[in-house]
Amino acid sequence: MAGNHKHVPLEDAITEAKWTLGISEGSANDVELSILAQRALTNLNNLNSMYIANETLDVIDGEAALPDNVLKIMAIRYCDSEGNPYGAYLADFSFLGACNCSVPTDVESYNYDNIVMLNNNVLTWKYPDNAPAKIKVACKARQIDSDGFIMIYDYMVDAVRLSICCNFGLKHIDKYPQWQVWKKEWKAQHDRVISIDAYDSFQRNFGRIVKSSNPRIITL
Amino acid sequence: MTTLEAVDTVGSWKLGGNYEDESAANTQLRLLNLINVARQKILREYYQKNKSVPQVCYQEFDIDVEWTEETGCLSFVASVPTIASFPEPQLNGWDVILPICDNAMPLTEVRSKSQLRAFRNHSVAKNMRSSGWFVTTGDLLEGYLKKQVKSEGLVGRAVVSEPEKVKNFSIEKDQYPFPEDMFSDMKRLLEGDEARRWAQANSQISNSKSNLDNGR
Repeated sequence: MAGNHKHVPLEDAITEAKWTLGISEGSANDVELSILAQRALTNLNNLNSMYIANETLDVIDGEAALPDNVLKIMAIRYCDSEGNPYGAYLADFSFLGACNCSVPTDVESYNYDNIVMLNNNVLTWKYPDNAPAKIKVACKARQIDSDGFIMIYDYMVDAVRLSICCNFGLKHIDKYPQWQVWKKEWKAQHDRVISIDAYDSFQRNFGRIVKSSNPRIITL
Repeated sequence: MTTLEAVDTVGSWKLGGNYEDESAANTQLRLLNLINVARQKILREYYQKNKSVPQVCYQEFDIDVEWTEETGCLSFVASVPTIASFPEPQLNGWDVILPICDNAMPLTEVRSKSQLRAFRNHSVAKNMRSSGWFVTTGDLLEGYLKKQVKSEGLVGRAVVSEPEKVKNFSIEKDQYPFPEDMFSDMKRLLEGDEARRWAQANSQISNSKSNLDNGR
């Protein structure tokens, strides 16, 4: 295993960007910087800041609100009021198929988009009368702390900082002529983050690769 | 240097105009206004050069707030002294507005009322480490707190255009919020040609003689 990296708040990158930009006083630019930081995370598209979460949610009047950090639902299962699962699996099976995840044919399963709709982070049942008391949701989620704020890995701070500086500098070119240098550094840091992700992903899956591969290939 | 000492010091310089008004208090007030204008001009130039404002220029004050319960948040309106403005990228002289409660995080400034309303529904707002949002329009401060923030009041820290307008500010006791080593810049500015025109105009308006007597 590659081990775990330290988690830090996204605000670390914003604070460091404010120092770099020389706007550490006041909060007039914080909204813009926060949006740029979250867009930087999207642009980084790094897998390490996401994890597979398993949530048990209450269904009230045919609606279940998802936590704010959920990015994509992978599968749903109905539960009784005690939280015990029963019945069919609901999932985006076409997506799972595209990911080469085969679904056993003897398991009762449905595509969830025929039954529920996801709108504004709320799952809404097409027929509320048929909704269960609770559901278990397996979803791809972003790392957050106990207060619900975004956390990132320590090695990503520089990349996010440079993305913020580059985009903010582009808006105020006369104030920040060095934005082109930041852009080059952002590209380098972006590639560094992606390569660390790839390395970690390889390390995590190494055991599985060894098991499923011919030993002679591994010794090469 | 207290505010009154600053007024006396500036009054001893060779300014344009004659302060022949009968009331010494009026003269003091006009000198103070002149200092405030000069202070803001110097600070703007300093900010453009250094992208920062000297910390001594900030003043802390309590904000008297009127609260209104709204769905999911607590909105507020307050009257505040005029805040100095600085050129981009920083717009206003606010350093911080803090709610009075445990583990308080500062409020975040937005630039317009429409942005204030729009931002309540923006997905980024939920993930931002902030107690709420505010906007200043002239002397009016408006904003709202997130629903989980229970505050008894607000405390502000800002560069105020007219420091003497801050609540409980005493011109006799309180330090004038301007670095002492930058008074030489103020002297250079106020004794310069441009400032002489400000002072001259000021003097003519304040003169108790009629325009006819002045030969105008």
